[in-house]
Amino acid sequence: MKNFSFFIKKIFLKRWILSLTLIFFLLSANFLIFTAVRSLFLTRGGYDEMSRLNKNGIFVSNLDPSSAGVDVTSVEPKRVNGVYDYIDKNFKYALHNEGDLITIPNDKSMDVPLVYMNKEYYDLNGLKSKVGKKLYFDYRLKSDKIPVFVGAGLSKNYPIGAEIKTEIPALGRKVTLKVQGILKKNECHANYYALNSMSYYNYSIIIPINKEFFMKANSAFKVDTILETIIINGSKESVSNLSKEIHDEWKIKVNFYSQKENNEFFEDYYLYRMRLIVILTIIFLAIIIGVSIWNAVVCVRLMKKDFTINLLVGMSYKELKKILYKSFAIIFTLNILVVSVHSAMCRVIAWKSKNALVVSYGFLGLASNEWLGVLAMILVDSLIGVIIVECIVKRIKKIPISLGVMQ
Amino acid sequence: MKNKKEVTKSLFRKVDIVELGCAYIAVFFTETFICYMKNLHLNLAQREIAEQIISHKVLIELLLSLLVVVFHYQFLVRKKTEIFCRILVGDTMREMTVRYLKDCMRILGSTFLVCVLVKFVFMLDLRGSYYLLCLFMLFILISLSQVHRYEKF
Amino acid sequence: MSRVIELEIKEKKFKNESLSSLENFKLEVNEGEKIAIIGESGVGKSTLLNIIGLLDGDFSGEYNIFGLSRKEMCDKELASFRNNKIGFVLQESALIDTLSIEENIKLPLCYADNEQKQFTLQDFEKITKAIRIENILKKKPLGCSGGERARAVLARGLIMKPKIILADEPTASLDEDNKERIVELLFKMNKKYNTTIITVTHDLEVAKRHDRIIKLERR
Repeated sequence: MKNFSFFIKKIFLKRWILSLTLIFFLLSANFLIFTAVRSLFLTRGGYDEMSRLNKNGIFVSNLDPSSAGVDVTSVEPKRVNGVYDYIDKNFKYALHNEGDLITIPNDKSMDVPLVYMNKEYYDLNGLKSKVGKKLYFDYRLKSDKIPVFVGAGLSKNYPIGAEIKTEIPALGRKVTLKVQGILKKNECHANYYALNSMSYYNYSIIIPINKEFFMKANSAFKVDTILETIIINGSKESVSNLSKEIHDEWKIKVNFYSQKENNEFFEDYYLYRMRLIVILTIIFLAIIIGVSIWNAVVCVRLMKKDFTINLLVGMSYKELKKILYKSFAIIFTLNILVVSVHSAMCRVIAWKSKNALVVSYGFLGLASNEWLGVLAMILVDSLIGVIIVECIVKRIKKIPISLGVMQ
Repeated sequence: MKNKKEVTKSLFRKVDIVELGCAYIAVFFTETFICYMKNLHLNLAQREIAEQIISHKVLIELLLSLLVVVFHYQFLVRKKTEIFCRILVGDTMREMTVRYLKDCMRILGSTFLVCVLVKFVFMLDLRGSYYLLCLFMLFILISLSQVHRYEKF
Repeated sequence: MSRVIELEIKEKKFKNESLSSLENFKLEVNEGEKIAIIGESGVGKSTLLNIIGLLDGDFSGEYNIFGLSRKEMCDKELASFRNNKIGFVLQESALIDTLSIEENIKLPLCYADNEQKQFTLQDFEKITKAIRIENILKKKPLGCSGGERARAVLARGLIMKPKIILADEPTASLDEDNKERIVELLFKMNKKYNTTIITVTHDLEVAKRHDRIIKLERR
């Protein structure tokens, strides 16, 4: 320990510019690894989720770029039901809509997003409550209370059986929601066609929709929901007809992509993106390692004398190596801490911004994919540490231990 | 004819010129490449990653310019004995400082010119390179004050 | 005999503290004289040598070298004086690691005018032969022994055939053989060219071989 603190004070801190630069380079390497791993696992998660939809007969709707930015309120109400009737008559379909916010009391004073889904979507999505019963869809809007799931963050204020009287924007009137189940922490789903981003349901309410609900909802909601329909038992021809029907009725161009087309898109985009991330990370890491080695070699060049004195007064190369490994272990630990704290702080900021679709829980501030990032940092740091220390020691061994060097 | 082996008055050796030149090139060309990325016709995945890199442009450049800081620092520390020896045999601190400034500027100027030429060929925005040029000139000016530190042995 | 150095120091500060040993200090040196400066460590011997060698002008007092006042000389003139009138012989460490021994010895030639350069280059071989370093000229300082490096430093100090040689502990850390060789060479220079020699040393035996010994003491 005495040797170690002497080494840190007299050698490491003596050339603080070099030490600080080395720390910055290694810190950037850690940020790079962490971000790459997190991004890879998020994309992988989204890809897995999407692959559930890649079955025969499933077609996912996607607004054509030529119709992007279309105003859903511009569609005439009487033309809305026509399309829905067409879908209802010809297909088995999954409906899903999210984006409405309501204000109800909760411990974090967040505006609560409402996530609407029909039975097909619910079955397809595999959404399960951690506690409580299954969600049912055959309620009567007029007489029954609407059974809902609430996110884990709302469980304190709204336990199972609790009732929430609130106005639902889709219906434009007050209804009573009854908590049927509570979702597990960090329940989320990937945004289709943006699989590397997730919407978290920690402060959301899942509302089941049935035909009665849909028919009584406002036009904008209907159009919005239909534009994100997933056709479960379609064929190329039938979805093409549907696409034509929507265009004829609403003048909006919607494409329906099949399993094969989606696979092609994912191969082209996400798998390629993941490959690109891995390749670029390796290239950047190689550059950072190269630069760090240069920095370390420069350090040795300037501190020939200090190393020689220490070796002359009895420090062995083995001991020197041990001290260097300890120093780098400390640097890497601090770097990992900085990256982890930064990530945890981002989570805290998300909580403070009260954006309910972004807030997520983590163990010691980090989500599970971020813990994988930490693990990757530890592995890569160990590798970088070994490379740099061995280079330094090799370089030091080349210095002749003589009086001349010291003078 | 000038003796090939004759010692020059410059503090720079070939290896120093190569090291400093490489450091400048690393930063200038990274900046140029990031500028070039903006003009490339990329597919969606490439564009997303390129945007990530572009949004971190300043950070990447600052990190790389640390190489130049390290070079100036270690160079002057290494040249401590040489500076003193040259003063002993007839050099002046002022002339040595001016020579150091000229040498640094020459290396910076030539790498900058190459970078500008590349940018000119690819019709890229020159502003980033000018900012870097100013930053490196600032580094050189700061390091000038360090030459005096080694006047006495 | 002409006077080469007339120095009168009233006060010299070192790191903001007055050096008592150099307070009201006077030194007059004639051409060809051999002077040894002794005294305990930190008393100001090397500081005095720096003042004499025109490296340090930060003192109150008067200094005339070869009849010229230091105060009236500009930086360039001081440098020119150091180049061709003063030869510094320091410890073996005062060599540039990245240059070969030959390049180190020829370093003063970079700052000499062309005529002097040609003239001096002719003597280069003679000096290296006399000092017996002709076989290590291509080597880098770190590849040489302590004695070889000390001789290289001496050669650099002599190459311009200076009028004054200032030697700061030239024999420190050398064995008896090398020590004797260095001192002999210095004295040979003195005899042959009537060079003035001022040596700072801790070694009393070496000091005794000079014409005059000046002992610096704290007051």
